[in-house]
Amino acid sequence: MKSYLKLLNFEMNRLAKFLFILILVVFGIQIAGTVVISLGFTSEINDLMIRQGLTEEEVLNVFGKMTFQQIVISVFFFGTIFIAATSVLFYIFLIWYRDWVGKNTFAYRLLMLPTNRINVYLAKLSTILIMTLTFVALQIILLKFEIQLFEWIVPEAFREDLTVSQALRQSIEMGLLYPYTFFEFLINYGTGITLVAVIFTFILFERSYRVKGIFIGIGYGVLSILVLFSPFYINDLLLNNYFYTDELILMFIMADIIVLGSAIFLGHYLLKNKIRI
Amino acid sequence: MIEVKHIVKKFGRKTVLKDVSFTANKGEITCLIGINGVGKTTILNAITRLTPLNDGEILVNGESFHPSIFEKVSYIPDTITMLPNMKIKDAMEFMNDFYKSWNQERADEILQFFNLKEEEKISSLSKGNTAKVNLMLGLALDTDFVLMDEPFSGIDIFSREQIADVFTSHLIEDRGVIITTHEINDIEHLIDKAVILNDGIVVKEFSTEEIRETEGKSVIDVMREVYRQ
Amino acid sequence: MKKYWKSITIILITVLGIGTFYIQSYISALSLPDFKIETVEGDETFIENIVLVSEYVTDAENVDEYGYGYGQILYLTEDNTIYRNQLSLINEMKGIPETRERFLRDEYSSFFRGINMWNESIYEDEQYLVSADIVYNYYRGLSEGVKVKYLNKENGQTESIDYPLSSNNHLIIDDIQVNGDTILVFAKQWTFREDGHAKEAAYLYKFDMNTNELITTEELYVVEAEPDQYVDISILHDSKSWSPNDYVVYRSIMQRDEAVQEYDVEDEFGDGERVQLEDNRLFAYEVATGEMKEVNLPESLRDRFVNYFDGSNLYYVTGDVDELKLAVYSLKEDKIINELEIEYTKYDNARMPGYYMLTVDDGYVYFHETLVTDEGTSFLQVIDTTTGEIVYKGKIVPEKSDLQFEMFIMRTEFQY
Repeated sequence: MKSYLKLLNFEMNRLAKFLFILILVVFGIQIAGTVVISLGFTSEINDLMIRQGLTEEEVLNVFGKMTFQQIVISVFFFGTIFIAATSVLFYIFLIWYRDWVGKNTFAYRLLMLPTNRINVYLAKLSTILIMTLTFVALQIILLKFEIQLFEWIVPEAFREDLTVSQALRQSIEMGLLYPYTFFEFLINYGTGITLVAVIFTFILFERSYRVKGIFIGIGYGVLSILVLFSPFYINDLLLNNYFYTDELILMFIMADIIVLGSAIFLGHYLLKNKIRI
Repeated sequence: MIEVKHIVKKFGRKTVLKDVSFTANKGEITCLIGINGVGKTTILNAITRLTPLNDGEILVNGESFHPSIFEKVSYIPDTITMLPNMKIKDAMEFMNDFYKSWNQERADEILQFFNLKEEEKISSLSKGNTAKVNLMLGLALDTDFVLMDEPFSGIDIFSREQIADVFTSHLIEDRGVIITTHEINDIEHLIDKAVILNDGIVVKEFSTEEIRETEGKSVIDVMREVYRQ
Repeated sequence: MKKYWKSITIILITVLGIGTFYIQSYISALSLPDFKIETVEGDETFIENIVLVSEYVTDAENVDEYGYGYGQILYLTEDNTIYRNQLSLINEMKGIPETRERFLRDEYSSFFRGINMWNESIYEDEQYLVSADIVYNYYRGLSEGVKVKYLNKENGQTESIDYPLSSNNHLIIDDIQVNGDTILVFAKQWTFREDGHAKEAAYLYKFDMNTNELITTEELYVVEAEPDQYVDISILHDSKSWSPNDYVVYRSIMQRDEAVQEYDVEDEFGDGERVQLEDNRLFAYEVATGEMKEVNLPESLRDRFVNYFDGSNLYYVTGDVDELKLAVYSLKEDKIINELEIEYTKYDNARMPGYYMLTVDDGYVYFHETLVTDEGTSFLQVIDTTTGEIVYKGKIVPEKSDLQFEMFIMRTEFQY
């Protein structure tokens, strides 16, 4: 446990700089987006009212009221979510390969620590989870600022206000990241972490058996995903929807635990017995 | 004692180690000798479970592999095992964090001996100094055994001399050392035991002192005999 | 400690950010008020089975001009308030308590395995529980059979009937009824032709519960479109879609204007927007006799949409909110049997006076306004359509009397 925490802290420190830069980029783009879109809307209103002499009511008839949703569904938001998601995906691979590839093979040190090697795996897995959740949490905090900014720029008569949690659910993608209940939150991110663990174990197959490992790893990955979602398609294709949703969710949670457990178990086995420097 | 018993290692279709057995004792410097590609590094990697074996067994003090052997065996591979953006200080702190057997006094002593500054960044070190830091990280652990992979390869003459001095110092003293090299000249006078590898097997395992006394041969003489056959 | 500060900061921000978010929504869910229907006068049994599906507006500033707010969905019964976001995990997955669907799912959980609990495809009476489904071949994109399953509640026996379809068409289930030992499955078949013309047909499959076999297939009504013509046969939905009906009513329309293609059954109970159609007729199938007849509506009702249907009568709302009139057309007698002015106590101080909602069931009108606020008293009234008499009157009030609130009632369901 102690070595796990130390390793986790070590991985977090390695991540910190990368994460910090990314957060700055995301924040910069989102705030710029908020300002650009809000100002754009305001100047259009001003243009209509001052130059064309329309009344407030007439302007509202043309545009309707602006909500923060227009910002949430803009490229500024989508772009940043895409950037964050891509960098997490990139980091999933980087977190392992940077220790093998390059001049300084830190993998030697990690594998020679007087602790179970699975701690290395778990620390890296936790790092990815924390990295993701950091984005998720910071977005909540950032939205508060952005909504405030929006309310400063757009006059009250022309806007409709959203709360942070409303703003967060303006698109399907965001709804996945911020489900209504904490239970759904656990299921979504639990599934996420299971998929990351499967990728980790895939990477370890590759690191253990190299080219051959890629093929074994793909086989393993496909199998894992089949097992993970098996309750749904077995129920759908073979059992004529025999099970109720609550039973399916329960089975899905079980499948999730099985896949996560086997990913960690296999990862442990590979790290202990098959890994190659 | 490290016991290497009948180990077999294949890379694809090529069998690099066909059947290798030898022992290395505490208080002795055992040298694995062989031309490049004979599998010397593989043996060290196998002892530390950095590569899987196809067959055979390796015991350290009678026990098979367990992560805690890294408190008893320290391995100094031919590349540095720390991150390039770390300072020497950070690297030592990392070691201190994870290893019970880390001996900070000894680490400081080695730094002083090599004339290295702990504020220096690993990425800014010369090749020779990088090797010295690497050596320091391995030797400052209070372990029974030290494994060194080609400690002299690609290093300038002065660094070589400095590193060679370590072998005769109290830093090694009663530890067991397994060292690999393909250039025996630098350390011939230091080693207690030689294991000559060729074509995947141990061709000869002998005490250097004995062979000098009984047959009047040096390690290089024996090597010549082996490779001429 | 120094080397841990980054990790600790990151984890702290994460836990606090996500934690506050969910704790806040949990707390705001807990603080939602309970409502009840307080009887003013009349027979309380009238409201024993109703469920008012409503939306409680949590942030009144955010209601748009159409009255849609950002709120919490709640199910209000006589003495129970169930907020959807307060449901326990199990209820969230099993369905809303106090609804008919949930009752059936709990009571007959093995029967409903593998069955879509859609309104049209379930039938229930005292003796039988019936489901029907179309076996659809997703590869070929065609309907391949009708699958009927029924439970005899008396002996607890479940039977299945599989009837393969030979036609290469698309079929959907419209309704199920039971007449004696016969299960009637009403289905609509539609055909797309290459030139885009459609043919629609209303079919009736009769199954014998003694032999578990198909008795007959009847083509109740077929309509074929000419070029540029749009046709549609749709069934009138009733207030209790799973319960037995005396009549199954079809509306057949024909229209050239493409805009009408947006017409759907829902409009039947909407604001009654009237569209001029080339052909617009109602046909009623009498379950007991098996007779299909065209409904011969009087001139005054002919081009109107039916506002409500309760299985035996058609209800038309005439007049406006200040003078609300209801015409009751009996399918059995083929005439308007009653035309009455609905007397109701108007919501004093209503912010949206034009918005009220009616549901008709078993000859009774359930009346209430759409928007309920603390600014006045909102009533739920049950009116007998034969006499026009108010048989029940109740107030929709919060449990805590001094509450400021705003709530939209979206629809009335029956637990029955």
